[in-house]
Amino acid sequence: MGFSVSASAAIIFISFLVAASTLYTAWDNSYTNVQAAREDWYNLKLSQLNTLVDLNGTLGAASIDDTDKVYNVTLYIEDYGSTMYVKGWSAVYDGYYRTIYNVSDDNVGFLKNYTYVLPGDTLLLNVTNIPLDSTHHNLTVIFDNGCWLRIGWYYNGSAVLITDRENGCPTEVS
Amino acid sequence: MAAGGPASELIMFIVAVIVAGSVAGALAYVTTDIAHGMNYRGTLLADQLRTDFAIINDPNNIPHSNLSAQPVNYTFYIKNIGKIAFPFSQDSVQVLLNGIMISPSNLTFLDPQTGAEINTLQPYEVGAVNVTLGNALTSGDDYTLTVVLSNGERRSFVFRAP
Repeated sequence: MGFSVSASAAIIFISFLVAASTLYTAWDNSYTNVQAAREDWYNLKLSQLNTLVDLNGTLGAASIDDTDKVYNVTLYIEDYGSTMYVKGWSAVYDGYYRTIYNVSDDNVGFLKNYTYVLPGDTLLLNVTNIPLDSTHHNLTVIFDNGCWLRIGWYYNGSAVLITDRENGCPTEVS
Repeated sequence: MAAGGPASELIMFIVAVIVAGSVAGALAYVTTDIAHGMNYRGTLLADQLRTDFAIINDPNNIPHSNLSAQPVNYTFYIKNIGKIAFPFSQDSVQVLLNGIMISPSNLTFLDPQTGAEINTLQPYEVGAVNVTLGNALTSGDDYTLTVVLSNGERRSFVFRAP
């Protein structure tokens, strides 16, 4: 009788230990996983808070081609905030998506193959073959963290003028 | 009767071990179930935290097809700004326009560069959602587009109809 009680007590005790260790392992895995994800989430929000990218001056440069009736604009975009990953940037030009890392596939792209932009760095962004008329054009540069810089300009017959520039970050209603 | 003592001891022992084993087995089953639940819930929560996206259109300039020819297509660009890829297809993404759900058959999920259909959106990638409507939206009116992912992440975007 005594041995039966001891044996069954030992079995139940060991099963409690195994259950506790199983639960602890599962909790620890979940906790570590959620903590790492929370860290990523905080990093994204911190990156959005520290994003400040704007034009360096009113307009970088503009070249007018009277023969082909087009003009090109080079925007000097300066990073006044934290370091950013340029390969993750995108652009929307006059409402349509454009790749920004290659100027040859469309009319919008960087002059150099940038990977990171450090605080204080200036990036040169070309918009080429714009019809030489007074149409208002609009370029939105969207950064890797979802924040954006929107620039509007037009040709007034003798020069290219910046009409508006705004920046912001994604919110629930953007 | 003389052998009754050890035999009953043996029976008692076997019964006790069977009962204790059953309790231990039930405990192991329940514990494993809870552990799987914790792992699943943890992964789900972590995925939700790592998933984020932005609707990157110019709100004043939404790409569209010919407004006088029906049906009319409007294109919205979605950028993955999270840390993980997410499903990007009719089965996994819901789109609401002013709170009214657009039928999945009226949605097309494309690579905006090539125009090919895609099923997932990797980090930093941009995907296009083509929304097909029977009639054009009222030009100049403001509308709210809401995009909901399979894990419940949602973003709303207010735009002015072209």
